[in-house]
Amino acid sequence: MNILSQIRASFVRSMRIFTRDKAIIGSSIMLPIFFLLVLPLVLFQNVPAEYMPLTRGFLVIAMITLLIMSTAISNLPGSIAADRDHDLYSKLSSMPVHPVYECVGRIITVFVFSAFGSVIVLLLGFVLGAQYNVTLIDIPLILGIASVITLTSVGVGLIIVGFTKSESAAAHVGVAIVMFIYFLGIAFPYSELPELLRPLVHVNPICVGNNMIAALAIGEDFIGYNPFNIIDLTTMLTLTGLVICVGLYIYSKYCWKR
Amino acid sequence: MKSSSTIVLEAHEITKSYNEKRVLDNFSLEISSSDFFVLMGPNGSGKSTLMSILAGTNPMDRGKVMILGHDISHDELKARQHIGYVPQQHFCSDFLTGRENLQYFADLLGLSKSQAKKRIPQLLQMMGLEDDADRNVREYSGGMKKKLEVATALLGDAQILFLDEPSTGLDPNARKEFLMLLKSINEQGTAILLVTHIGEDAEIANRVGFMLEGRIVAEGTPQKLKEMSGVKSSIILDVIPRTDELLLLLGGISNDCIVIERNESIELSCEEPNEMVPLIMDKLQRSGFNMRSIETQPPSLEDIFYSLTACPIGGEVA
Repeated sequence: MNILSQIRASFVRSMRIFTRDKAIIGSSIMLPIFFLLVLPLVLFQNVPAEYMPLTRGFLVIAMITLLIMSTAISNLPGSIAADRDHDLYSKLSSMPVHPVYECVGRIITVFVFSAFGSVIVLLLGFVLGAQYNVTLIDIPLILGIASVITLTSVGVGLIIVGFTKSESAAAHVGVAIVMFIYFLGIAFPYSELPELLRPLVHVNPICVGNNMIAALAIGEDFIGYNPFNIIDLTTMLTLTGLVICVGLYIYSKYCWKR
Repeated sequence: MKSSSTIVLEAHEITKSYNEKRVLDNFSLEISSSDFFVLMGPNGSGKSTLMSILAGTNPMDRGKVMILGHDISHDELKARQHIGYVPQQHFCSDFLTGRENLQYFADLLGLSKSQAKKRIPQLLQMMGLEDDADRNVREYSGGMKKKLEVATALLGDAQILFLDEPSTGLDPNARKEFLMLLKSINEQGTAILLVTHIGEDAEIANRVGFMLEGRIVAEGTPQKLKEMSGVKSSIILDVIPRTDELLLLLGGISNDCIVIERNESIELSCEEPNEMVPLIMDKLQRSGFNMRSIETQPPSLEDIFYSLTACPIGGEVA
């Protein structure tokens, strides 16, 4: 069993599908771009002009998080469920292929595809006047945090596909969860959230990660608290580890089972 | 060419139940490398469950499956290297070309770049897909998709192909072409186990098994099964005028013939139809009847299945 060739095979196939499927490109990349163009006109009309660049910067970060979530929590399970509906897993189960290595290929696809989309959103943000206070030292940290967000999202996506029966169910449940997380911890700075919703942010690695990136790139004052505290950090890393392990287990057991 | 005496598959007393309903009942089977074995049975007889167990994708409750001496339950990696499985559904991605789909499976199997570069064009040519290799699979016909799927099963070192109802959805010409392709693969030394409910699929097999309620109830060559069943061949006549006198005349030709009047024709079920045809033609001519057409029709395997099991193959097991 050649581990690297299995990972590569799965990655190349998934990447081709993700870049050729208009629905995936539309929901993962075009939708955040659309929001990036429209939301400032709709929601930020009363923001003073001197704060607009940082506000746009915050929006770009939120859109990148949305992009990662759409890719991993909706499109990844949708793609896996479509393969399951077409009996690909029966075929794979009859071959000397390991479920985890095959899954790693798909996970790498999510990383690469999200990175590609994020660059587009970032560049568009610069064109629209987004501003950041980032130094070179912050970039590896930001990339690391974005990876944690991606891994958590992938874990959630794998759990979804283990328990849903069809492609449309997997994609729709994914969309619902993306919207839930987005509006309850990413769409608005922490300081703007109602008191009741703030605890949810601290137990959601995706929200914590988004706030960490925003704190680094825009400033703690904008976010309204310091997400780099030991409790949030520990919770984020622990829950991410747990979710990805559970997701991989569920994927291996329930997707590969007829 | 491999030795015809190589036993590729040994299945011993496979038992499988779903929710206390026994789907496979002490099922046993042995297949050698020269075998083209077709398992026929109605829906619900356990064919697909059996296929999934033999291919190693579904655990059995009890029993043993050996592929070239490797136990599918305990030595699964080695066993799976010798299996080529083609499930019923089309599993190749519509977003990829034929060549890309084959490359995917070649990489999964660990074929080197040079091995894949040699093997993929060979398989595309064998399947007659070389001109369509770089088109998206969504543009392929059902027959082309099935051929591509068989090609994926032959990429590695498959000594036996498992095909689950492969001709479902194919038109008669595509089905014929596909079965001839399987026959040629078998003649090159790869054993084939195919499950179907379509009798025509079994005509080219060298071994046919009838499956009902989780076990094989009859087995043999198509010819032997026809002889076992006692079902006779038919002569189909189109004669005018259609009168009672005509039916009496035909009934009196031989005690072994049964006359059945149908809407468009008259059917005679006879032991030796080829010997009866000149006799019938002569009798009809002498009696002044106008015979518009006459043809012989051997019994179908579906007819034989029904005669041996009292269960229509197009039906469903309760």
